[in-house]
Amino acid sequence: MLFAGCYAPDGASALVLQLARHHRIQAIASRLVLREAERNLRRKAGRKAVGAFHQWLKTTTVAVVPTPDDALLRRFEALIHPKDVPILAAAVASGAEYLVTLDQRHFLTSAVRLRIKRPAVMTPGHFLKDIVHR
Amino acid sequence: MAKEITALQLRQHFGEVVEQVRYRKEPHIVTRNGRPMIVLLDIDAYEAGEAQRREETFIEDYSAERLAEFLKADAVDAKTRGQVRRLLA
Repeated sequence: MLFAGCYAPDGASALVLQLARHHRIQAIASRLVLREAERNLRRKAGRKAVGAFHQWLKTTTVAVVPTPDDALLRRFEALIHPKDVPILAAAVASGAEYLVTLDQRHFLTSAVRLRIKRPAVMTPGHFLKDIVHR
Repeated sequence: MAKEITALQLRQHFGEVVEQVRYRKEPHIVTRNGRPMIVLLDIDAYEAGEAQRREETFIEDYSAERLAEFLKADAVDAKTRGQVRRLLA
């Protein structure tokens, strides 16, 4: 979502980032997700998108949460792809209301939906619909 | 910048070196016969490094296929876009 928000200015993710920048929502991100986004932007998207990411970080209040300890990670191991365990665990531990992701393959699965009640896991497009109808 | 000291110097000035590493945050590389052998590092710097290394194993390098999936899923309909723009105005 962070990658797309900085790479594709016309997408739903870019609007989510703008909502956070304008204090309409509170952004929470795990340190891991921020590192992953920056690395992939550098390698795949070019200087303009990396600049947009840094600018967003500079102008937005983001609560950065650390990767949870191994005991907490183990609780989520059966639910999701191993690389995504820390992201899901950090989102649950942070108390966030939503986990906004474009990773439909790993996060938007029946296993995650059944077991994770908070945060609500959804795509940026669905998140925006939810926000405007509140 | 890490300081280099020999194993003999470490033995002779242990307390002083610990002080520099712990409180002045100066890592020390200990050499023996001119070769670097170990690093003395403040515990906070060590733990921060460990946390970074641990996170490293989870970082995904997006393939072209994954990126295409992400960008395809990044849609928003015109009505919702307009409503969000009004929220941002």
